[in-house]
Amino acid sequence: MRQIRNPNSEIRNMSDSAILIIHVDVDAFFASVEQLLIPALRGRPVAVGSGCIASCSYEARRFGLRAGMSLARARRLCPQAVILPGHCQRYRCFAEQIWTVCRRYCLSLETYLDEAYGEVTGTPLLRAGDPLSLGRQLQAEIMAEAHLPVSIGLGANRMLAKMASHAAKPGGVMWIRPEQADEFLTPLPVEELLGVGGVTAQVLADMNVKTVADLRQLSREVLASMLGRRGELLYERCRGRDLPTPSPAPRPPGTISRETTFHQPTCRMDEIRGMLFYLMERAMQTVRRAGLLAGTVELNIRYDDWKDFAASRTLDAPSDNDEEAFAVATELLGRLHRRRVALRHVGIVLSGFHPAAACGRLFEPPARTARRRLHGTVDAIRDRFGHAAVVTGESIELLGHLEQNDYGFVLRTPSLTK
Amino acid sequence: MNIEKIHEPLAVLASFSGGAAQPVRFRWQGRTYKVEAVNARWIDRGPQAQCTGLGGPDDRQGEVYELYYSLQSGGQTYIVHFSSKELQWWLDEVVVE
Repeated sequence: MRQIRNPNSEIRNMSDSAILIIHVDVDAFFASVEQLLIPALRGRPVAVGSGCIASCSYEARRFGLRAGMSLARARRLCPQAVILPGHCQRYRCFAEQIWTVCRRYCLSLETYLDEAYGEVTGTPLLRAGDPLSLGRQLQAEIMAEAHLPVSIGLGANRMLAKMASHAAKPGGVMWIRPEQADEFLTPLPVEELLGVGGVTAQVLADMNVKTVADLRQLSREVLASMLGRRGELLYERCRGRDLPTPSPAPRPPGTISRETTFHQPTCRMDEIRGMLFYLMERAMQTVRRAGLLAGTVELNIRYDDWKDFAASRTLDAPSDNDEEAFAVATELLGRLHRRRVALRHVGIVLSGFHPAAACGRLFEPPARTARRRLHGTVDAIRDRFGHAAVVTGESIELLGHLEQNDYGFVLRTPSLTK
Repeated sequence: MNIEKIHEPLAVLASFSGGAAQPVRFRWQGRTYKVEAVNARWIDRGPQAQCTGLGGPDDRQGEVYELYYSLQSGGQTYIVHFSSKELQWWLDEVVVE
């Protein structure tokens, strides 16, 4: 996630009453980029992914294809679909073209790979017209410059803006006015409320809660006792209230994760450990860049028969050290990897972040100081010469098995941060 | 449809106008291809940098980047790029229907 404050943010007129958030979501992003680059793909069902679908075109969705679906199932449902492995770096470049346009409209912008939240409260463009006109103008400008379709949602907070863009898909613009929020939300199936996943939806279904209106009948205390903090959040969300608006001051991320699918399912422990070390060092590099220390390590594995397992452990002390976090990851691997079935997918998730500057180093052992300096030097070399310039730790096991480019090892699926 | 990875150097004739380069013809394996359409173009400044659209103001003078194009010629799509580091055009992929 990136947050960039518009240098002209003083243009915001604080007398403008209601906060207005814009959510920009690129429609079928990866598939749309591929269709843009290769005209022969336009109008055809296209799926991008390796192992499972990361993105698919609207033509493919008509055949029932969805993100997350295995490619084997996708081929059965739509034999004529063109399936591409994807080009992560290309997608980042196109995303940045889109965010460059968005920054002209927003006071601040919080970007992810295929979506962004911005605040447009009181901007001159907004004062010159209504939010829908602003949304349509932004959409047209993105199409003119990046040639990619986006859906745009506007609302009084992030949740409403995102739900509006979702409802406007594909290629639409929707503004949920404050006075329309109740009318928009209450008839929706509860699983369409932001933050209600499959498990939560099942818990609510067991309580005969089917719509957002049903959810509103439950008190904050009942929801909190059922779902913990998420329950309190849902209590607010079903009433159209949400988390604070995108802040100019970057907040630490909730999680930093890296995951990938093996080129071939594997039982080889050196390959599994090598991949885990590689993913860990990529994630930890991001942690160090953000000036953070990670408190918790989670490991996810998927067997070749698609059974998933996950476990997590809190570090003895928050750390930005690859080896310390890797030691916990290998301990978790020992606990999780008990079946005699090959692994097809591994991932690590770091969370529980603390600002590195707030954690004193006065009593840091000399070996840890030396290790921290080593990581700083390796990061600097990689920033200058590419990640593949230095191969460290157990990721050396991947040498000779995986190709390398400037960005590091060429993985079957890009090890993106979620 | 078949996507062939090529990665071979390429001779490109391009026009430079409005702060952007536009390939007009390219020569590959002794044959000259006329660019019938530019399907898309993008700039890659590397994994850590923000990539921006072409032709805009640039405060990263001296930085290495790669200009990518998807070109249409003779019913086929060619993905090419110009490396500012090598001052060389490359043919990356050919999409054969």
